[in-house]
This record gives sequence, C-alpha cells and structure tokens, in this order.
Amino acid sequence: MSETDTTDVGTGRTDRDSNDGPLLEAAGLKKYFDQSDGMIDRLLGPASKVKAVDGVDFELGRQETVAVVGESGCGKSTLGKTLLNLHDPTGGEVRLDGTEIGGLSDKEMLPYRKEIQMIFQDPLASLNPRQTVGDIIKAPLEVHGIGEDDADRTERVRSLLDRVGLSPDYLERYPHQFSGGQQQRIGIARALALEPRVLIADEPVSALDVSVQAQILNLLSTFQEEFGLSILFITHDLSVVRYIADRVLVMYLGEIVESAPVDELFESPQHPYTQSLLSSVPRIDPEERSDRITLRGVVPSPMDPPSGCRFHTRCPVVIPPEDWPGTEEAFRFAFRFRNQLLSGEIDVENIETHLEATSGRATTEAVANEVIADAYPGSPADLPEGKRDAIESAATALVEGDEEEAGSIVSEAFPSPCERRTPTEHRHASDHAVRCHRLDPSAPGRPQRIGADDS
Amino acid sequence: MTMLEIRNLRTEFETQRGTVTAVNGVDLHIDNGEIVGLVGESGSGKSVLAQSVMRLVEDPGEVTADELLFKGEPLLEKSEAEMTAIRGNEISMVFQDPMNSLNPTITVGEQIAETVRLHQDVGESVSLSAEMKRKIIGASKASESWRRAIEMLESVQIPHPESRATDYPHEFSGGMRQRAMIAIALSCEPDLLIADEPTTALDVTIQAQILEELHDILEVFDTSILLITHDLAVVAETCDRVNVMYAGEMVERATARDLFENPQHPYTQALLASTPQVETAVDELKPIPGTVPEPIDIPYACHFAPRCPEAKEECFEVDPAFRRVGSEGHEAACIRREPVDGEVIENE
Repeated sequence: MSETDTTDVGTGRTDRDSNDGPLLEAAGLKKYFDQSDGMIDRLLGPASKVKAVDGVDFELGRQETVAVVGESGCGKSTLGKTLLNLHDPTGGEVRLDGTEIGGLSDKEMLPYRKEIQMIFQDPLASLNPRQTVGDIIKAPLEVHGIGEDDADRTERVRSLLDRVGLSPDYLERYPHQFSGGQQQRIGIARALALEPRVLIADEPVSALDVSVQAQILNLLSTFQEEFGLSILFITHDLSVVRYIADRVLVMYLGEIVESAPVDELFESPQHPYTQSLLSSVPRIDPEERSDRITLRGVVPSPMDPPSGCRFHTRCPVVIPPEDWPGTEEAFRFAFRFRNQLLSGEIDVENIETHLEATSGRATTEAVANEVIADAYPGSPADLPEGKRDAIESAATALVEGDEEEAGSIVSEAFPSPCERRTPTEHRHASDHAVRCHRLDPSAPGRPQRIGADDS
Repeated sequence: MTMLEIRNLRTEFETQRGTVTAVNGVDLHIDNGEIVGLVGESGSGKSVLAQSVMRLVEDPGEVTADELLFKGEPLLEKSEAEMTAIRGNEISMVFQDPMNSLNPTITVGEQIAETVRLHQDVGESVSLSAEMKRKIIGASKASESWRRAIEMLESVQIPHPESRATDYPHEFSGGMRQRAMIAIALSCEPDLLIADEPTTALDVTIQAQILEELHDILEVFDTSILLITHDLAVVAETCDRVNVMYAGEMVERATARDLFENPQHPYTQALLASTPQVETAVDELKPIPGTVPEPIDIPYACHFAPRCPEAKEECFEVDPAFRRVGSEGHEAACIRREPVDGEVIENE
C-alpha cells in the first residue's frame, strides 16, 4: 500500500482494509424472542421462544452486495438487526473485520456503529418529522464528533445532499415536504454521513414506484464503487435481487437453505424452496414463464419449527424412505396426509357435522372415509396394501378421538429422512451451498430431482 | 357485450392551491368476461378512477364524463340509493390491505353473511335490532346467509370453511384475509370486480395463488375484472388487455401481448426499462428522471413531456390524441408516433 493511496480522500478505504478476510461475518448466529410477557406466563412453565434467526453462518466480502431473500416472517429483517447489534444475539458470533462485536453494550458498540449503518423500508417513519433535513443528517456527525465545528458539519451535509442527488438548498426543509424517493435519498445521506464500510439495507425500495426504485438502486451501486461499500440487501423482491446482488442467501424459518452467486442461483436453483419461490415470480415475457411449483400447507410457526429439514412440511419433493414399496407420488400424498394429521389441520367435528347435515347420519366408517377423501390428495387405492391400511386405521383412530394413536400410526408408516435428519450443507459448486437431502449423496432414501416424476 | 364503458371521465378536486385533476379525460372499456389491467405509478390517478366508477369520490371531488355506462346504464345519473344497490351487488371491490377493510370485531363468516343479507333477498331480517343481535350472539348457523358464506369461503379455497368461518380476521394469515375479502366481494356474484392492488402486500408465493384464483373466478362466476396495479409483470401474466395511465391521463392501451412485445408510448417504454426482471441479468436499469407532476393545473399538453427523452417543443403545446401504433386496438397518445393507418383518433 503506497503513501499516495492514503491521500485518496473520499474513498477512505485504502488504510481500512487491514486484512483479507470477510468484512462482516456471522457464525452460528441465533436470535430468539421470548414470548412470555408477564408473571403468569413465567409461572406457567418454560417460555415458548420464537426462533427468528436460528444458526446462520454468513460472510459479507469487501465491496460485495449480498442479498437475503425469503417470505415474510422468515427472519431476514431480524438477521439484519442482529448483525447491527440492534438486537442482542441469543448465540453465535458477529465479527466486523475480524473483531467480535456481537452482544457489545451500546457504549462499547459506539465506535463500530460508524462502520455499519442501516436504511429502512419506510423512509418517512425513520426520519424525525420535527427535525430539518440538515439536522437529521448532521446528528450522526455530532454523535461521533466528526467535523471541526458546526459550520464545517453543515458544509459536509450540503455536499452529502448533493451526492445523493438533492439540492443543498433543501437543508432547512422537513421530511414530509419530500416525495418517497427523496426521503429514501435523505435516509441514504444520513447513513453515508459517517462513511461506513457496511450498509444494511432493509427493503429500501419496496415502498417506491419502479421508476424511482431504479434511481435508488443505481444510487446505491454508485456509492458502492465510490466508497467501497459492502451492502447487505434484505428484500422479498427477487427481480431487484437479480439486478443488485452479487451473492444471494435464501432464508426459510430462520435458516439459510441455499446460497450462491446471483446468476448461478437464478439459473440453476437447487433447493426445492428456492425453486418454488423463483417459479412464483410473475414474468413479463411469456416465453420465460414456467410451470409454477405451488407450495401447499401453511408456513409453520417459528416457535415450534418442524424437525429435520424445516421445509419438509411444504416440500413438493420430499424423499421416501429406502424401503418404500410404492411410487414416489403415492408417498408424497401419504406424507401430506400425515402432516395434516400431525399439525391438527384435519377438523373431524366439522366433517361429522357436514355428513350429518347431508346424509342424516355419520358412522365412524363414513366419517373416516370422508377424512381420507379430504386430506389425502390422490386415491389411496394407489398405495401399497400395508400402507393403505395405515391411512385407514389412522383416520379411524382420529375419528374415535384418539389423536395420539392416529399420530403414531402415520409417523411410523410414513417416515421420511427429511423429517428425521437435519440436512447438512452440501456444496453444489465451490460457492454454491445447499441444505437439502436430495443433493446429499450420503443421505438415505430415494432422492429424485424435482419434476422428474411430476408429469 | 360491454360491461363498462367510460368516455372522457374527469375527476377534479377544488383545493386552496388550485384544481387537482386526478383523472383527466380518460376512456376505458371492459367487455364481458374480460380481465382488464390498469397500470400506473402512484399519483397516476388509477385508484381515483376506480372510486369514480363506484361513485365513492368524496367531497369536494367532482366526477364528470361524456359516458359512464355500466351494462348500458349511466351510473352518473343514478341516485345514491340506486348506487348502494349496485355497489357490492353488481360491482364490488377488493383493496390492497385486507386487514383494514375487514371488521376486526366480527367473525369472517358473519361478515360475508351480512353482505349476502344486505344485497340478496334471503328472507332474513336486516333491521338494525336483528343485525345487532347477530353481532352480539352470532348468526344462526342454519341460516341461508351463513350457508352461503361457507360456500364462498370454500370457493376461494379456504381449507375447512365451516370452522374457519367462525374465526376473526386476525386469526387468518395475510393471504387468507385477501381470499376472505375476495369471498365477500364475490358473495353476491357481481358482474364486475374491481381489484385495487390485491396482491401488493403479499409474498410472491401467495400472490401466485391469488392471481390464479382471479382466473378461476372469471370462469366460475363469469365476472369481469378490472385489475389495478403498479406491477407490470402481474398485469402481463393476468390480463387480457392493459391500459397504462400517467398523471391522470391514459397514455397507451393494447392487449397484454402487444403491449409488452411492442410498447410504443415513451412512458411505457421507460417504465419497462426501469423495471428489474427476474429472468435477465441486466447491467443497468434506466430510471425515469424527475418525478410525477402534481396534478394541479399542469400547464403543458402531454403530461409526460418534461420527463420524456423524445419530447419536442410541440409536445408541450399540442394535446396528444390517441393513434393506432400496432395491431388492431393497440393505441398510444403520443404525437411523436406516426399512426400506422395515418389517422388520429378523435376522443374528445
């Protein structure tokens, strides 16, 4: 590193990159939220915890843009806030440029705050309505003692406004006097005032119109080059991800299920969840439309996530056990029946009332048949004999009110490696990691590619 | 047959700062059994247009039109009582945020049943005291309206509708709430459903299901749909025909296929160029410079002119008339486009 590099004012990155490791990294990061909110809850026994982020490993390289995608409730926003120490991590580590910062107190965190800044989805809600734009952007400079005096700080604010594409004369205006896109620019100016190295952007363009969204995305790219910023981009919008990200992490129920460079992920997604997510995105070009892989079942509660692979309750390609005698499709139908039964989705009372109303009487057998017709998607006749009996006796037990018995019958008859074993990380390519048994050659069962027998 | 025919509709609001022209001389028509898209960014006037059709524009808003015909009948000449009979019955609406349009204190089933009682003659009292009683002790599960409510929940594929009907809105997930809203809107088998950003607040996986649902509705209930959205891809996948609106004016209309294969108006082109797409890795998005003008006394003729890369002096002075720019029915309001048949469409 030569002497002249350090005079390169404005980028400020030459003497900061002290080592070559990732700039921001997390290992086994966890954030649980306590659900008990009073004495009585505590007395009633161990509190249930929402496992919003549950063992996430991740790296953000220098000048890299990593996107975190997933449905609402998957924990992606919590991940962002936990990295920033806005939430105390429940477990695991967060390192900034090699220094552990997870769980530091506010005071200890202060010097690092300068390095990691955040922008939010709703810019107006994150700007103080009673402060002028000048004061808002100046605040972080004052807190961190940057600038010689007030006049110098004002000058810095003016130049920041100019850089985000707003007139420096807007200094005295209030946030509500700006449009949504301009407000987001103000949020970006404030975040960049301290020349951070990491920017965590939580749905920064989701509330904006497309034409304005493109302005903000391009602004972020420009700053990334100018300041050498690393960006963690949290969003549910896969089209935006394709445009802005270098690498993508796909999150499901608090865990990363797939991570890959952006083009690789979009062109060759491996995890069934990623595949169905991508297939759900509407496309302008009719040529590009493929068959939708519709996810069935409800998103399980993060308080009590499913065992093994968390996606197994909705997975369209769940793996049959090695000794499964029938077709793969029959297994999936049976597995769906099992999951509906175990999650209490089958409403026996309802079916009884319905039967009584239509045919006048509801024998156990009739109700059980109706339960099967309701919860088993195909025809049970296609099942191997012993397995068909299992479905029938489970339904009968359920109708007779013995849920436990019904549950153990289906659990025993239709096990899947997916619910028994937690998938380990499998490298599909050197930088493409997937957590799915179907890709793990050592996993038991009969894995088969998606779509292979669906037609 | 034409379900809805709008010609030269204007919606204006007198304010202290001047007249806000939210909708400025717009034409639109919807045929029987069609899904028609209305696309535009915020401030384009698309939602106000929908409210104008429903006659839900509040004071000081004023709606005028050369024609506003619903099944051949002029809506603007209807009395308030006649409109009440039409709303929810023949034309109904679904909004973006289902949580704010459902009553949190009443079960979902009862909310649908109420709509049925109010709009269809099922022989149940709708007097205030009878309604109050139902709100407090719940509707009779044997009533015709309740049965209908369950049928509706079933038709929008809510699992276990009988038990779900007794749930309150907060017990539903976002996608299910939107389905419940659609169930309410469809409970009286309307001829026209206006869906204003029905999937914007939902995850893509749920959005895909709801859009599929809209198609099924069309087949089962024979309902025409006006789909209002800012999302070009949603329109491309769902609609038969598309209308593009900008700053209170219609700028382009075509079949969905024509519009996206061969966009002609500079605004439509710019909008597409600024939209990131999931299937293609683009190096650069081209944002539209500037912002949407405030719709108060806009002094120039083409509202897009100040942001338009092709604008010439006359664009600011000459009102752009629609002209055919492609296949039959593909029209754009831009004087920089030569009409393919040499004729300018007189629309005002």
